[in-house]
Amino acid sequence: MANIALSADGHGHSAAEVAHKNSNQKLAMWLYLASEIVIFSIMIVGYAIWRLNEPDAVSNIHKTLSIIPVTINTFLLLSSSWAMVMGLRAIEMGNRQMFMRWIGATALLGAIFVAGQWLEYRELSHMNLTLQRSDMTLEDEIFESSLEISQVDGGYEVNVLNQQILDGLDLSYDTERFVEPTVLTEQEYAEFEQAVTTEVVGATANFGMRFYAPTAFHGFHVVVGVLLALQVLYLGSKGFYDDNPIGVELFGLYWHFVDVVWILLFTLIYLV
Amino acid sequence: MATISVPIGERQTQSMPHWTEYFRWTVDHKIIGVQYGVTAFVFFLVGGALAMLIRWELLTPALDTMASGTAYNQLFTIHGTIMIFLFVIPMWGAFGNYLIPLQLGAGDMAFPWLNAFAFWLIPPAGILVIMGYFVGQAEAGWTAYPPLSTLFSGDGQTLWAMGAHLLGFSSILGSINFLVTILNMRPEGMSIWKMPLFCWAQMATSTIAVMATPFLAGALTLMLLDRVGGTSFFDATQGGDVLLWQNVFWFYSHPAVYIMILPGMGVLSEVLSVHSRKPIFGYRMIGLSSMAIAIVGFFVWAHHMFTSLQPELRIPFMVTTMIIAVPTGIKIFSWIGTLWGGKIRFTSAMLFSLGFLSMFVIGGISGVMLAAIPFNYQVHDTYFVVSHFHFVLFGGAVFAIYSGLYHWFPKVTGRMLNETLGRIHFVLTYLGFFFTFFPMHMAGMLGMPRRVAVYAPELQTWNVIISIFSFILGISTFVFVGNAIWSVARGRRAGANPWRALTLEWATTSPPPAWNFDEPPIPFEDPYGYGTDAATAYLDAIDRTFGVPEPPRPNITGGNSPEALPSPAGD
Repeated sequence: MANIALSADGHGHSAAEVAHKNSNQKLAMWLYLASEIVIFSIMIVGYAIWRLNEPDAVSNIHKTLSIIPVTINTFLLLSSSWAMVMGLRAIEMGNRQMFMRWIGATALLGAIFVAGQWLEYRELSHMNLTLQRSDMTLEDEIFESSLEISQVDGGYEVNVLNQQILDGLDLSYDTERFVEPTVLTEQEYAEFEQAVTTEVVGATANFGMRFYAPTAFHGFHVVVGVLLALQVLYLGSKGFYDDNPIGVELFGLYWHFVDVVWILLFTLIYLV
Repeated sequence: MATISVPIGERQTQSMPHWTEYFRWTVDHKIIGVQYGVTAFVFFLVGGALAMLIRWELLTPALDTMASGTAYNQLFTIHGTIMIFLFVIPMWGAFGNYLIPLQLGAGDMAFPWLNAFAFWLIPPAGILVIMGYFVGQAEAGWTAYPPLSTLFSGDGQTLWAMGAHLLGFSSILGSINFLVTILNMRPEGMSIWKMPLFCWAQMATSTIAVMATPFLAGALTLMLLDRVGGTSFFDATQGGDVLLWQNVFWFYSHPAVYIMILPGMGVLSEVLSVHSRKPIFGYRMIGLSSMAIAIVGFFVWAHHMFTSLQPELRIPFMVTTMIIAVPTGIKIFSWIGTLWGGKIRFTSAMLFSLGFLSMFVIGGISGVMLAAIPFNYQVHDTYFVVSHFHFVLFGGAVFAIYSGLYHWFPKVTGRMLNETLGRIHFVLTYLGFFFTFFPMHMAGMLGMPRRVAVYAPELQTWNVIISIFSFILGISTFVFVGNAIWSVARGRRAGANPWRALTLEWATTSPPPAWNFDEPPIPFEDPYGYGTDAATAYLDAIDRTFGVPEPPRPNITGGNSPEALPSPAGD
């Protein structure tokens, strides 16, 4: 009774079937990345709100921390994206050897990025910046490049190197005098320390969790990416992608996504 | 006469897969669908038992059944968590898994392996949530507001967060699979405007799940960091922000209520059309209103926070909340239009759909009442709110789940559910439900706060009424359980298409073979085109082969004979 117009022509992997599966996988990858964006956006927005509310603390942190190592790190990660593109191009052109080299470079650059982040974390933890809120004081290392304080006769000599830190300070005397090194009496210094602690030190102590959560979450994605790159290398060496390089393309989508997120984080946390 | 292009099915039914298949890792979407469904239903029974305990405690105004207020807090926390995360959402996963490939005439989901993986995340998550009882169960309510959930709750709260995390992950993976299947696996000739409305509903649901669930994941990550990592994202005394949780949580959880109701609306669109033998009224509007709800649903979250929000934001959220009632109203009127002048068959599936229609309207109206800020102030966190969300979740989602179970049980098992027991089940559920939750409106307006075990003695009358009917509601569940168990073994053989429906899941045997369709089926031009030439020819051919359907006669019990005619409209 069944009246069927269509009939399945064999159960082999026809070209149309492969193309259909590929487009399925690409759509799924895009949807997955869309949901990843949402998770990152919570941490990014959480940081951005804090950034807007505490410009003085951010100014102090930027003044203290060097941007050079992380810029190099960023450059390496961007280069890895380029290596990724070249690797995909190589396998699409059927050049397995070049593919192995480029994807190998991708994995290596990703691994170096993770190592660089590890070094950065170590340096920050020495400055008393941890995931937990730490009790900071003006004497902490993180304030060294913003303030110079030395005890002299009759009080403290204060040299404010980062003038932005004075914004919004509630003092009974004029902040104009900090334009050049000035000597404060015991009483004036106590007031100064109190004011800076309320305005800047507490906020600087809150930087840790808001910094580590998004960057470590991103770092975790890079680690996963490196592991995936190694798997792509292994499968590629077996000739898995010779006919259908979709797996490489999917990994590429993920890797570029991780890069784009880093550009956002780098701009938001280190630059502005 | 138009050509019949859809196979009319066979009299003989297939046998179900061996029972051990259901306890194993398998990539067959039909087995995974049943795994989802049975797991979710077991959690429904657990969550229901907890609800019975809550009602038992509330029989008297004093603390008696529970050892302490903390124990009571744990009780309703786990009741809510199980019902939402472990029952309703996975239950719609069950329907989606079983039906989407069949309705699209496909052999399986786009990613069978991912499908199995998403399911097997659920049992460990359920165990994590329940295991909290051994280490100090979560007690901050299913909404887990800090600082209750960060500074005060026991280690069970950490397990709770991990469990919810796993469930969210499972939900995201499942939804990606649904979306790809619906968008990319439709057969030739079925455009997006010709696919069954259940698929439309699942498409809207999955869109929400993919875009909203990550918000929960992000918030839970921060909560776990606060609890385990020593951060203070949600601790205002340490530079954190309590409202951050409320905003992010509701940014997930408000869209999540549409995750819980939209598939039910899809079920309703199928059942009402099939059982009133009429084309669905306003196909496009039903499909589009699902998408409209999905989109507007992202802009109403702060109506949960009228008492903690900046005052100037209240009016905008009141307006968006009222706007979202419009697409819902479009659906309701379309369904009434479908019923109008139809040849209505009062099968159990139809009864539960009509129950949804009546009860969900009440829940919708109390929702609009709650959206009005001055009224909200009066009943905020009272039993009025409890009543509202049970009307939409039980009167909506659960009624639709029952309706779907009665409608598709023959497809899944090859046997009909007993209609007599089905009617008893419906009457008990309908009355038990209404008299449990409707008096809660009154109790709420009289000032009964939610989430407390000790209340003012003058409210006891209302609470006793509520509790007694809730016990009837609890008992009614076992009528269904008994019916299902009996019918799997001895129910009447269903045949391929017992309801004489036109969608493709009925164009194969019941239960379908592992490969679903012997030949790729060609869908009807209109999946609800009852009365068109093609549909009439098809349905006539079925009638000629298997005999004319008898009107429903609930008194006839089933038999085990494979020779029995497929029963078109009930037992």
